[in-house]
Amino acid sequence: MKLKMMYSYLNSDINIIERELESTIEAQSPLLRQASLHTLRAGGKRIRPVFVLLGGKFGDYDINVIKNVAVPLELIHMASLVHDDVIDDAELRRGQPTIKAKWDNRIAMYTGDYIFARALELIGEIKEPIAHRILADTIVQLSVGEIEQIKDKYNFDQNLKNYFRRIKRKTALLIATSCQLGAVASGVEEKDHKNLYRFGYYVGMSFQITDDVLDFTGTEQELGKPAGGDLLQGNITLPVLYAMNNDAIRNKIINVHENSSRAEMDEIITMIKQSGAIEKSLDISDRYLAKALDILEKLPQNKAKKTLRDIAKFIGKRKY
Amino acid sequence: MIHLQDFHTTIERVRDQLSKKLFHSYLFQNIEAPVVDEDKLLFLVSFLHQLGLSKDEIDNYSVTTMLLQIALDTHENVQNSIPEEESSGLKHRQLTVLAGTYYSGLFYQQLAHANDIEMITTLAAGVKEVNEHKISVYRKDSDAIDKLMNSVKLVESSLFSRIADQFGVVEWKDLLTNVMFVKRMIDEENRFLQSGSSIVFDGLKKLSFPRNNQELAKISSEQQKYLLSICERYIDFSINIIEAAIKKLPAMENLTKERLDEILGQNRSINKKTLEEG
Repeated sequence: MKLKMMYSYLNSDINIIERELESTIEAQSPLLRQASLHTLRAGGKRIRPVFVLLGGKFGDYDINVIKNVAVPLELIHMASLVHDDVIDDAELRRGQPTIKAKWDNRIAMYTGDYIFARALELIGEIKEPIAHRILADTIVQLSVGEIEQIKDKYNFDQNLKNYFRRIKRKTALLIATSCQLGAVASGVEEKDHKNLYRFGYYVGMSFQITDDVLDFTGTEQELGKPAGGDLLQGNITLPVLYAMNNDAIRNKIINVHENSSRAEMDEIITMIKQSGAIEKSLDISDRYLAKALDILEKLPQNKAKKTLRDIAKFIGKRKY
Repeated sequence: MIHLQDFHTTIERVRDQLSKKLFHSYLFQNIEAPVVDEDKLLFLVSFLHQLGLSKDEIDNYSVTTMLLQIALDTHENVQNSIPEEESSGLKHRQLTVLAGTYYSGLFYQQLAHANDIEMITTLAAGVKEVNEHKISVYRKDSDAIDKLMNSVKLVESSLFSRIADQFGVVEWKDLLTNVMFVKRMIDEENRFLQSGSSIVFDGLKKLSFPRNNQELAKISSEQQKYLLSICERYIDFSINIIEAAIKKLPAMENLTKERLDEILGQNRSINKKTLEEG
């Protein structure tokens, strides 16, 4: 089953979120409006709003309230992508020119800051202080994580702890927060919204590890970029860390730099694949997934719980 | 009126809290330390002090507003291109982007933990407005000089005027917005006179001489003088508003008053010199 089919019963609410996203970025400046809409219309899975809605289904669900969490979370994600394209000097995102490519870095910075500000204005509609504390801590952790990622680039002496902390900040926290804030906005009791946070955290960890594995096992067509791109950029992921337990592979990997040739990279990718590192990484991803499913069992029975289970299994096992 | 000693202590305490918040060892090792606009800090604290807010409120609003201002200023340093000779240029740019984002996250975190949702939305609205008008100034898309000048004013002061609005103090709003505008315009004048490069004067040139495609630095001295005179008119207008606001407000701390006199006096000396010398 396709991911979107799993939550098709939420479609009318997802459409409300989509319309709200468009109206929220109605800037006075025509260029700012165009740039913001360009980012919005580039699409994306909108997985964070979906997690918000599903979290909300455990409480007193009201789309007119919960949209004030779902929309800001997607906007925060969008703003970070606009800035990430400046960081990565990226020309394309999802096959479309990035804002920095279509205009320039300055416009991308202004647009990202504008979208982030709109997100905070909107989430101000949520009056539960705990929601703001959770989101604010997450936002700070996200940027600390990105700074750490730059610090750790081409650092081949890092350990598993560095890696797990990095992917927690990079991916898992925002998914965890999405699940939890949907619940908080719907008045779900503390025990349950904390479990939803844990569920999101474990799913996010599993998702990112799978993503890091796919960077080696996916084809260029599936990935939209050559395999091994993360390593070439200096990002040391779980398969690389496991593969470096073998001295011969380690000696090859520690010589990777941004100008390493395709042939060198292909040789390293083959060695990583043959080392058992892929299987070990997938095993860790599965363990996170199992933890996510265990946590779900502690939550009250409803349709959203089944959907969360299906989504978790899907994104943990996805092929690309 | 607050005792001079109290006011100095408050400024020092806010500056100290701000420094602690801004410190990040890796960022400090790899990019320039964030610059605190001392004038913005001084006028903001003066304003909050005069409102009679509690120590915690003054600290909270001063630190978070300055964090946001520094975040915006940091992102302003992100360049479109990296000079070839700078081998560490890419990393520098990456960290500059992330530093700005980190500082704005700290603003939200501090106010969220103080349960001050209203101030979060107030300042976020300011950031939104600043970026709308930054784009307008950057793209030179104003269709009138008045609009260009209004955009410059909002870029400089929106965060501060929003706070003044929240507390309903019109005189302080007038004072803060116009002082920040005058300071920026003096800065633009200096840049224009010294290097022939100024984004605001570029915008003024486009509106005043739409058919002149020459670079700003190469326009005739008559045209230069004309642009300077426009700039001076706007500065004079703002100074009048500042002086009127001062008259309506209770007496200020000497430190603030002295700094105000310096800024306004600085303008008069430049003005006189340039227009006399041409």
